[in-house]
Amino acid sequence: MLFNSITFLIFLAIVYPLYRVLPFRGQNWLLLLASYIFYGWWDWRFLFLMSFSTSIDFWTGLVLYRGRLRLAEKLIPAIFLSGAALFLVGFDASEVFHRIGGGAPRAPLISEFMPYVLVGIPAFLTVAALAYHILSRLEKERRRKACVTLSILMQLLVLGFFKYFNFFVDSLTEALGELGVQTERLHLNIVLPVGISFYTFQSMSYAIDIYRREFKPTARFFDFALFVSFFPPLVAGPIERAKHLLPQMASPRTITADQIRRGLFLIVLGMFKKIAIADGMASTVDQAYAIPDPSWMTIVVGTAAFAIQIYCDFSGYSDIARGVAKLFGVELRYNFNQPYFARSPREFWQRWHISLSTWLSDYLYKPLGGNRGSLAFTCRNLMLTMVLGGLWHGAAWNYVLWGFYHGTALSAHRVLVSRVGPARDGLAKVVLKIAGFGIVTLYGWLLFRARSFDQIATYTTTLLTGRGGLVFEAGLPAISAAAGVLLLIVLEITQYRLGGDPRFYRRLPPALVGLAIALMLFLTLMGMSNEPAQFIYFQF
Amino acid sequence: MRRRSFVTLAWALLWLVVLDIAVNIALPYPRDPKDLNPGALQLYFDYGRSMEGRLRRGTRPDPAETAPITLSGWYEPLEAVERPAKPGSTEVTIYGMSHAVRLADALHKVSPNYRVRSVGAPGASTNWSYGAFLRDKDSGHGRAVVLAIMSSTLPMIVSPTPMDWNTSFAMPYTADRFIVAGQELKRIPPPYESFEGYTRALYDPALWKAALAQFSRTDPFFDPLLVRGTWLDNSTVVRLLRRAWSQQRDRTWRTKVLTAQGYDPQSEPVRVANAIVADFARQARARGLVPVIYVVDSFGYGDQLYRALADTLARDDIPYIATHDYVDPMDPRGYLPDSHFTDDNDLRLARELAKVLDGQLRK
Repeated sequence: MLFNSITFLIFLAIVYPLYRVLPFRGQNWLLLLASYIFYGWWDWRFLFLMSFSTSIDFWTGLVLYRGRLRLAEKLIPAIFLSGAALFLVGFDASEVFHRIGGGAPRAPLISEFMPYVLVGIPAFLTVAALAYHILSRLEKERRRKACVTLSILMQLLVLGFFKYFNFFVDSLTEALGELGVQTERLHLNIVLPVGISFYTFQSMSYAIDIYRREFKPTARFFDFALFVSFFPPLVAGPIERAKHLLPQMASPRTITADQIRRGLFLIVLGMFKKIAIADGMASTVDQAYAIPDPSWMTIVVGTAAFAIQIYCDFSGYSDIARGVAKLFGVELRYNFNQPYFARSPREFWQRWHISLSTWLSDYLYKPLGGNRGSLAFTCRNLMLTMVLGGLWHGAAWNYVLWGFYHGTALSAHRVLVSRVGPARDGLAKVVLKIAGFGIVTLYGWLLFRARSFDQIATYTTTLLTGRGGLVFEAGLPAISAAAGVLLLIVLEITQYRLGGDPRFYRRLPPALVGLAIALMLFLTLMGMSNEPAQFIYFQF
Repeated sequence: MRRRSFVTLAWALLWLVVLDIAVNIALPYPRDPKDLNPGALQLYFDYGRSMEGRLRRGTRPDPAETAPITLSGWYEPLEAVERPAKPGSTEVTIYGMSHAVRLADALHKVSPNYRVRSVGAPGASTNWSYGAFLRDKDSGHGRAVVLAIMSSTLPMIVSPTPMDWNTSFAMPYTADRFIVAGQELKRIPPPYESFEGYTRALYDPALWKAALAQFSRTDPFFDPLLVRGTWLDNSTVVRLLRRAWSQQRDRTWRTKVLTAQGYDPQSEPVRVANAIVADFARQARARGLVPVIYVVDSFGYGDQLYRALADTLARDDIPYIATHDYVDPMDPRGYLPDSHFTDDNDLRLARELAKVLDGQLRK
């Protein structure tokens, strides 16, 4: 279900009033059901994957923490998982809903996977019981390590299979082919579940935080299930941490008037960024990157348009997610803080996709040693973190290259600062640095948007040689996007000049804020006739 | 804080009203129905006006005073563009939308062998073109006929008037509605087929009501929200909302027919398209003419339309030319900003069509 769809508006119009009248436990049940519907709207089958991930992490979290499971803690997830397998995989859930809706039969109700479910579920539960038997008898520290390893491995296994299996197999086959070894290509027809990278990272942090004794696991299975599946950030972040989100699921929430006001503002802002700007830029970007050998101007404008598109698309999603969560009384983490005002690579990653960069910092960069060593050691850690961060975005070499590029930029900046020390900048220098680093960021977006190394090589050559000159060969952005970018620039500069405070508008006169809101609404209305594109980060 | 929120909200609403009025004042749509190019922004903010509102504004009973677009595309009289005769040439008639007319112009330029006629309507879907072929008494003077079919307007093959689906341009002309019933292709004629018939209906409430009732029964694209005019047409915000609604409706239709695997062969537009292609070939052959299908792949589409028709083309051995074989539908450089092929590509396609015609007529 897309935030920028009528379906979502109807969904919210049904769920929200119900939520407001229910008591706390009822609210949690409603949110859990709503979250599963929100995710299942895309493909019901993959809800099983989420319930699998939920059950495994619930068990490992508790065994890691106290070594024992109570009867209910064993049974409830087992029944939940079995039910999910039977209904979502054993039956064709889409067909079931189709028939409930009065549709004529299109396919059998029982899917071809039913025999595997009937054998697989008892087999899995037996293995799980055996694993529990072994783990619960281990010495405490060994048990803790085994549990956290098991949890991380299971998450990586799911992520690796769905996201990276074909990439690694294809790359290996090609590499062997280069060496003259011919192998049969084992390319599977795997559908990438929406938002898998987001919720697996969220679940992984749960087990790691318990292992680090930063957090106590919950004994309530359905609170945990809600933490994993809570719908606003589910498919494109922000990537939440258990210690931040789970307590909000486990205790009664109070919705303040301030949350509603701020939530509504964020929803308007996010819709404006997504519908008026990002969707209005999409066609220009797609056309520019569809040309095999475009002119210099086409690449520059196409890439600049992509920089705007991806920022408005992704931060727009985060704004809407945070805004919707606030309406339900839930606070989500900040994910963007004016990234294009960054003056250095380091600052960029403190401002762009903050929930991922802090995740990578806390669970990868710091465990690798962080900056607790020589400069070379720090640069190695930065490079490893960024390359894996690049790979997180997608199973393709251009994402790895993008990570490598940013790793190099971060390392070079680190070396520079260690040589000349931190700079104290005047206004002119700040502007120059923002513009200079903007060019570095732009080239990074070219690596990110390109679809092959050949395309990167051709486009880079054109950028260096100026081939094709100032001829622009793609279509122009929609009017809503062109006007929307101007408004966004005014808003962002005002925010920057007021110290970067995200609630900067509260310091402005109501008439001016009213004008900004009216313009955003008006441009969003104009953008509603643009071709709506799926949120870019859904694919990650 | 609470008071400030209400004040801000009131200001936002007030500004919205101001914007609504300001756009109407700053970008007024000209009253003269013959003024077709009032400017990009005027057109942009007017797209969401109801179809009835736009037709009433552009239509005058006198053909000399009405907007020229209201005169285009009528079956009665069926207008053909005849290009200058060439000595010893063979007549070919091409039926379709502007792509077909451009192809006819290009064929006239590249081949000395053909005297080209074109029978077209702006944005015509193939049901209109086939209806025109069925009514064209003069096609028998030639030896070949070409029917154009385009991927972006394939879903509209089930609509009897662009008034119901083309929200970008208000065009009142009508077309036959074809329905596949078993092995047969049934034809439902439109409620009026001429400019005179249209103006008579538009200015007679009872006739207009009856015409809209027929469209509502036979056209899945008919949506009273988009067609019927009200005083709300004067609001820019309402026009923007209506435009968004129409785009949503178009997208829903497109995704109903076009899936990731290609056009759904079970969908009504694809079944009608195949039936029309087969029937066109049969009728043409019965008149002693060589039928050719011109498959136009719009920008951003692949070869889905050809694949949707491939079985019929092969089964009935119908000659065709599919543009994706010559122009990459994903490369914007092959197209003009108005979505037509570039002149060079039209010439290239015309040369390919000439080759197909040469081969067929030699048989």
